[in-house]
Amino acid sequence: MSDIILETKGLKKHFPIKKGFFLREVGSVKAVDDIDLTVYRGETLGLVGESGCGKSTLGRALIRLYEPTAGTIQFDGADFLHAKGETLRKSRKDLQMIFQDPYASLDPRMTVGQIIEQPFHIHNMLNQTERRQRVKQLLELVGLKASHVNRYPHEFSGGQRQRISIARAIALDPKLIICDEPVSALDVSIQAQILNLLKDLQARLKLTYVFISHDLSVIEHVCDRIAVMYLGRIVEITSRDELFKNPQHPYTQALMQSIPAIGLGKKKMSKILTGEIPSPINPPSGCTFHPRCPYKMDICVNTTPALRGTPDHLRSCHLDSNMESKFKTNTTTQKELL
Amino acid sequence: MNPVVDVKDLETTFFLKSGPFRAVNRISYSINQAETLGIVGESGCGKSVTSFSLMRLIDRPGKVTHGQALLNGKDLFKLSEPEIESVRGGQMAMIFQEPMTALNPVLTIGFQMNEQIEKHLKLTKKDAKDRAIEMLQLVGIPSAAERYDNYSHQLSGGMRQRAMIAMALSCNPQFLIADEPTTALDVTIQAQILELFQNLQEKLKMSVQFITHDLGVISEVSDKVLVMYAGQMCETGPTQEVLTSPRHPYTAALIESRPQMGHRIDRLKTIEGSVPAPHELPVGCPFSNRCSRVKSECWTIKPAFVNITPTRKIACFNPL
Repeated sequence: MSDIILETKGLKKHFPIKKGFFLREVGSVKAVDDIDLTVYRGETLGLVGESGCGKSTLGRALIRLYEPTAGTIQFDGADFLHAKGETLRKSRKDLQMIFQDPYASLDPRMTVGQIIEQPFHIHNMLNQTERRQRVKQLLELVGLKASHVNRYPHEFSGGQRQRISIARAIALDPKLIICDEPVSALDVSIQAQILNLLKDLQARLKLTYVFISHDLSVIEHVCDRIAVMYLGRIVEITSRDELFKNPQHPYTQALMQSIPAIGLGKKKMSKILTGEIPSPINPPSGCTFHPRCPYKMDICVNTTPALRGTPDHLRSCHLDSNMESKFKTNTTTQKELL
Repeated sequence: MNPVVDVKDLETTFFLKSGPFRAVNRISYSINQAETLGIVGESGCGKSVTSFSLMRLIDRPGKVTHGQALLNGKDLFKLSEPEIESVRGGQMAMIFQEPMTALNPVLTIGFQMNEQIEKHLKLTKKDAKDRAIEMLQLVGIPSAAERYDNYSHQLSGGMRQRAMIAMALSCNPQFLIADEPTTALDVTIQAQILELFQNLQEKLKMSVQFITHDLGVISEVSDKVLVMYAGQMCETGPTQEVLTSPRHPYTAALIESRPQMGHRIDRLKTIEGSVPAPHELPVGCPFSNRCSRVKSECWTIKPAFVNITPTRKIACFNPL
């Protein structure tokens, strides 16, 4: 797995805050700050974190739905961030997105057929009859009926709508799809259907996913590699197996312990995080996690930790290896319980 | 010992233009003192309508069309409007899912709490304020006296939900309905709120009806669980028993379709189709058209909700 499809270096997205009559810039929301990320062809990379951690902003910045403030993006070996005109249009074809809310991401005044046909319109591909045929194929591919083509989105349930947005996303045979919380608006039984569909399509169409979710159990189910985000930065990134076996960042650890599990009985949460997620307008100094971290040291307040460790397992934490062994014992006990 | 809450054959119907729709279809349960009942189900299964029915907050075109709900022996459905007003917010309180919409944005947190405390506990303004601040402290809101004068938009999501809990608990309710209280929150904040919730329940000995779609949350907070599907009861029993060895196919499917940390499988089990629309409900068992264990009688006869052990009940002809 050395074939890189997307690579970012030092990617930043800051939203300016403007105030007063002349809309002077008084500060900025550092939604995404200094992200180095590599996505390999054919894999599913998970971005996980709580609200406000910048995972959706990062997802959008990756495909330039938000123009990044700084940094570089290489897509398929070419500079994507500075691509313009025809080159950009061509790359856009290979980068698609599935949004969280299937009630908001489909135009209520268009039929399903028109919605799925849009990408062909925009990229001026295929003639009328070919388009019709392709739309029907796509509908069947995502588990809907070809006869649904003339219906409107409101006639479908949430799960079916999400299937429509998936059909739209795969219409142009993209290489990479950003899935932004594609199942969090759905009921569990429907969620399972959509997750299975995404997996099937990936195998069939050789897709690469960047999968954004706040739900670690969903992330564990679908992803090969996982990046944990906190306040606009990646705090830990490694393979799925490694992350769940050996989480090294205290935040990852806390996140895992916060997830309610079935069958453990009424339990007292042993080590839950205190405090709340600070505002990204005015993030804490040093390591942004230090106000909530149970292992806070003096250095954490002053120095921002760099991503370090082995190339396969990076984390940004000042803790040294003897702390890691402490984590390990914690996780094994948790695994045994599960 | 008599249960604090005893609901029998509750039926709530919405009289829509397209015909009557039974959102809640003859459900019964009871909750003892200091006990938590979890009600779980997917959207549209009637779990929220159940709570709104008990609070007498069902408005036209909806109506409670059958059944009784006893709170300490008094039938809530037979109380007059002034009588229910003295119970609601006092003996019986509710926490809503979305604290942003449930709190009034143009009134301070303190004002909204005082209103309730003055009415139910018959305190003076000053004592009511003290009580409100004491409650805000109890739920772990830092600098409670300042927060008292804040508006809801000045608080974060987790703090808002804490304020909601403080408000609901301010008049010492014996019965608390929590309708998806942590669904809108992040997991680390959810963990904080759930812990707070359990500590308070232990301290105040409340009976709680906890509604959620999240089986993990149910597992951590409740003593017994009621699984609902399309307005009807599927299965009930002690929480850990039901979740570790479900007997109703729907409960089992619900558990299996949820990805679980530490249990890796290639494909998730799914429940085919989706919850039927009210006018498409099967004649027999409501789950028959999606059930993997369906038998011929399931299509025509509605299974009765019967005991399979002294503490567990299910409605199924072909249980696991």
